[in-house]
Amino acid sequence: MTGQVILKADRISMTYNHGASVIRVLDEISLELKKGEFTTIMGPSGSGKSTLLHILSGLQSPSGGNVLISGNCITSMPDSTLTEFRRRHIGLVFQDFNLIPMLSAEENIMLPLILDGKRPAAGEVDHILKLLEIEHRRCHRPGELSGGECQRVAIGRALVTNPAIIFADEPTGNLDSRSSNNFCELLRRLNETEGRTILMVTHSPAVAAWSNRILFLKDGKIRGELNSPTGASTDEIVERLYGLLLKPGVRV
Amino acid sequence: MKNLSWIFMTTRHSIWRRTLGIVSIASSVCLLTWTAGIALTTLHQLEPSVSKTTAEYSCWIIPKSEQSLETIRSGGGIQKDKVKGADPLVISPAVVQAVKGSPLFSEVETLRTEMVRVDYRENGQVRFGPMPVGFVSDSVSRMRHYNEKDLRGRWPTEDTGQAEVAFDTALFSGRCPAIGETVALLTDTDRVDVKIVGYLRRDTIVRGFPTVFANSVVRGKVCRLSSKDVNLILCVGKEGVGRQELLQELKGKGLGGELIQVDDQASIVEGKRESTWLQFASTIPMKVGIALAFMLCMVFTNIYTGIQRRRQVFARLRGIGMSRLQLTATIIFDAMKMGTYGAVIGAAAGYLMLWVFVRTSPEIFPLGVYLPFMWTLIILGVTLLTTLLALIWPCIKVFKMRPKDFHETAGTVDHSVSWKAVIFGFILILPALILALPLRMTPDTRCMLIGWVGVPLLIIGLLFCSSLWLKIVDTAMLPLVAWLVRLDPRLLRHQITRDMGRSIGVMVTIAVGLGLYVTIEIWGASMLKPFMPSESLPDIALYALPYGVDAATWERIKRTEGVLQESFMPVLTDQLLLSKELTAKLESNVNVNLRQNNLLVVGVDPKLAFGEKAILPFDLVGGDLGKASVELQEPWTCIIVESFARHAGLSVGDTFGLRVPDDLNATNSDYTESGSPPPEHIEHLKVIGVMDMNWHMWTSRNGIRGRNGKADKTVGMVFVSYDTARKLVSPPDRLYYAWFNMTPEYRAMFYNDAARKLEADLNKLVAVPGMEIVARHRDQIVEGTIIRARGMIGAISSVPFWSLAVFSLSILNLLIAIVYERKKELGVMRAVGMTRGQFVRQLGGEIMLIWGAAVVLSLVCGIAAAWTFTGWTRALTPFSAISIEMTVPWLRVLGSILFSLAACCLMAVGPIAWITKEKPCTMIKAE
Repeated sequence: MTGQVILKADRISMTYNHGASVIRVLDEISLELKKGEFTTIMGPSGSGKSTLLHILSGLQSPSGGNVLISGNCITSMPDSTLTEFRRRHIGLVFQDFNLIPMLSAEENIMLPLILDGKRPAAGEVDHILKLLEIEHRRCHRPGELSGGECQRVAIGRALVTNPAIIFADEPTGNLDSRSSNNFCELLRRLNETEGRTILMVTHSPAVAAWSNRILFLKDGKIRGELNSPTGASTDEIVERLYGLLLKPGVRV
Repeated sequence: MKNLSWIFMTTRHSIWRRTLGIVSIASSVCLLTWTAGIALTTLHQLEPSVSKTTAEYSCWIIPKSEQSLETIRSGGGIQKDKVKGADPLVISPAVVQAVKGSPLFSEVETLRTEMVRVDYRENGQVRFGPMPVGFVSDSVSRMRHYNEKDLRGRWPTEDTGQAEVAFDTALFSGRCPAIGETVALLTDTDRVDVKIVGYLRRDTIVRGFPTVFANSVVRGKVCRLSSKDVNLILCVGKEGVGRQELLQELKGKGLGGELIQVDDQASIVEGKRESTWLQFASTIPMKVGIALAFMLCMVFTNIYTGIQRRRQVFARLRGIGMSRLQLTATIIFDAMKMGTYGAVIGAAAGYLMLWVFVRTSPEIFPLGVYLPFMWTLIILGVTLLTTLLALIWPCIKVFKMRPKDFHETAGTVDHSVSWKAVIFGFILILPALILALPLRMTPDTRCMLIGWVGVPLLIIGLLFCSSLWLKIVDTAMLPLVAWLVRLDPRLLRHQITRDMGRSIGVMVTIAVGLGLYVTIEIWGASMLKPFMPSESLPDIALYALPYGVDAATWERIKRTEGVLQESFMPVLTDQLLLSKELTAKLESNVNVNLRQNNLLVVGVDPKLAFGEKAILPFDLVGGDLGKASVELQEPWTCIIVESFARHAGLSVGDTFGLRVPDDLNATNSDYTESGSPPPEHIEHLKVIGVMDMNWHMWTSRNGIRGRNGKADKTVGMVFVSYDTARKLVSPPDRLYYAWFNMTPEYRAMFYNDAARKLEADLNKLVAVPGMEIVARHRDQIVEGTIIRARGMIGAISSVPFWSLAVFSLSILNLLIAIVYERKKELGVMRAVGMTRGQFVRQLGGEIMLIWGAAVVLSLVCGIAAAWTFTGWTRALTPFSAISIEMTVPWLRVLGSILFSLAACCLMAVGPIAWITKEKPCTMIKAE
């Protein structure tokens, strides 16, 4: 891994007004992602994981703080500029796959390029399809693909523009354990062989174990960090997470 | 039903869809209520308006003209009461005596009236439409029902030496001339300028009743009857005495065969009800059709969209045990609720509009709104029936729903074409195509078959083929639309076919609105075109009536400023009856009984008219113009108009006969007492050319027709030389007509100003009392024709214009569906990198694709329907001599197409603006 910082979040806050009260979802979170890192954010339900991911990926604006991706401050960008930046420099993978039903697998992968009015480089899409092992399904529509294949297409869409960072929000949430495993293996491979920078959100320790850094989020703050978790450390992840639940406010 | 109520909790998410449905139904019901209400209210007012005019008279008698169609066709064509120098019709003394002595009546008034035409031109413009025809009574004071309260201004003063009149306001359909203005009263032989001093406010004219109240100065000039003659008897009788009683009494006295018309209030009201109803009947079917069609389309699309939106919910309900019937019942209940709300709101809105309208016109509607509750119930019933009809397909769809459908997200499948439906559709379209071929059947039969069978089957057939049509549009129009919105075609592909039912519903709704407009515009243009004077006609048609001018004066006229002297051409003209053979041939060819069997003969200078510097530079459709201008100098040759040639089956080289009086100077006073026609002989003319010219309005508005007791209408026009004309028409010691072009300076002026200046200068030049010089510019006639045509078809054409805008509401159905069903998908697109601009263009592209499909459908159906209506009109028209062919006003059609696109885009603004404001992350979280 190189030391170049790809993503820098500085004192990110997110608050909602609910009647007279103010709900603080994220409380001045700061973090950095270096190029080639595979980071997971874990936390109990309602801890603000997805909100943090949406803010870091530019889908949502924070109440306070800044996010820089490759040196560009996305929190101060106007909507159209941000949208184009997201298209070219950010890859997104969702829990529900969120493929466009009227486009084929190949066209779904190419969607960011279609929106940009660009043609892919020669063989690029073929390379992605081959990498994702879905060449034989390139002309099929999402309705004709399995969940695992759909998620692979989603990964392909996230990869096609060679983004600076890939964000994945509960990517295995709708997959069975086998597909989930295969998917995680793919992410790992992308990270190790292609040096892709990945930020993933999950509540599954088994999925989180595939990453090389885990950040634990509770009550809007990062409460702990675990580096280089392996399969053997899955228990440790569970223990840390459990500790988080039992002892609120305590750093694990 | 109670258990189903919780189902409708889901409708809180469909508030916009249901609101749109209620608004659509309400607007249709509002139109239905207005249509029924205005007709019934107007009919209801007739009795008091007639009663106001006829006061307490039990009945009245006027003479009846002996003229009939048979009389014309048998050759005694000249109306006895209109011949130059002849007296108006009178009631025989025997009838007068019988009525005066009748015990039925307590009071009998006998009057003499004279028919006049009121020549009033607002702002000096060409007058279009018939002149108001009034009846001057011989005494202002003798009509008992004159109510001073209804008088504005004053009664004419007797013996002042000034010609004064008061008019009945009902005489003028538009604006009444102001008090103090001077108008001309025209009889067959005279013209009297009169000053208006008052108006008697009346709402309706009753035939025979005086409408022009003149002083002795006017009566002395206008009335031709002697003081002993009577042509109006007003009777005040005992209660219950009316028309029937008087007729019986007269019959009993052997006076049953007299040519008299006996009327009372009831018979007049009945007649007016019928004619008023006919006026409404021309537009009611269309308005009702539009309202119901709109309601049907919108309810179908709305309910269908709702079903698609809640598809998963319904499938889950089926999964947990809800039966098909229960599910279908929820849809019906939902729709009927919407229909009921819409109907009540619409009826209330329609009634309110009617009430406001009636209140602002109390003099026209003294009895206020008349809309019996029964009619409101009928409208509500029709609304609910239409709603049920619209539910047929959606209910079938819901009935077929299975529990396992819950995982199928709405609008995610690209529906394939139902080839069975397409083939069935083509079979339905075939009759229309076959009937369009030149088959061996009468025009009437063909029209009826096309109208009642062909076009309806065509429309239904096209509906069945809609899925194929949308697929074709999705492929064929996609590149163009994608280019227009600057998007990759892949972003628009299959979007309109992913939900066929909804897309078809929206497409059909837009097509109905646009199709109606196209139909009416084409029909209107087809009706209008033959009446538009040809552009090749000269600038000015001049007439000097009623006395004409001598040759020396004509020369002075020719040298007036503004007249292009070398183009100045006097015209000798009259109308002559056709020979019996020619009449029979014409009637056989046009397949109608001719209401007129005369030909307008126009004597011209062949060199000036058709020579090198022709003032009638028409291309001949038969014969050679260069040769014709030479050959026309030969005696008994002619150039005929194309419509006459076609109807009479004449071509170059043929001859035809005209009936020419032996004595061209004879008047009706020379006839025998029995009224048989004057001695005549047949003259034959040889056709040396056929000219395609729109002559109808040119001759109608230039005083050429209907002179000297001749009929206003004619079957055609024929040009002959001066020499030939002098043998056919009265030898002219006076000249009455001339055609010419204006000088370049006058041509540079606005045509109306140029014509009025010319006319003023010429009237100053001639200055003969009672004489009028009128200069009509061709473009004045064009403008007036357009205005009159628009007025005649205005009520019909305004409705489709409304429909263009309102039917575009269906786009809202589409967008509401998109906003709800595809919110998540659109959010993903935004998240992946679609800008707001691309987002808007994608939605715009979808709208354009559906709109484009609707446009082609509407053009096909609209042109087919217009072709049918034009054919019907041609078959049934009283203008049997006018060739009415279908004309498509492409500019107006294009304008309507663009307007409907603009209306669709305008409707789309709200939903698109709302959805684009949403954040991508919020949209992604939508279900």
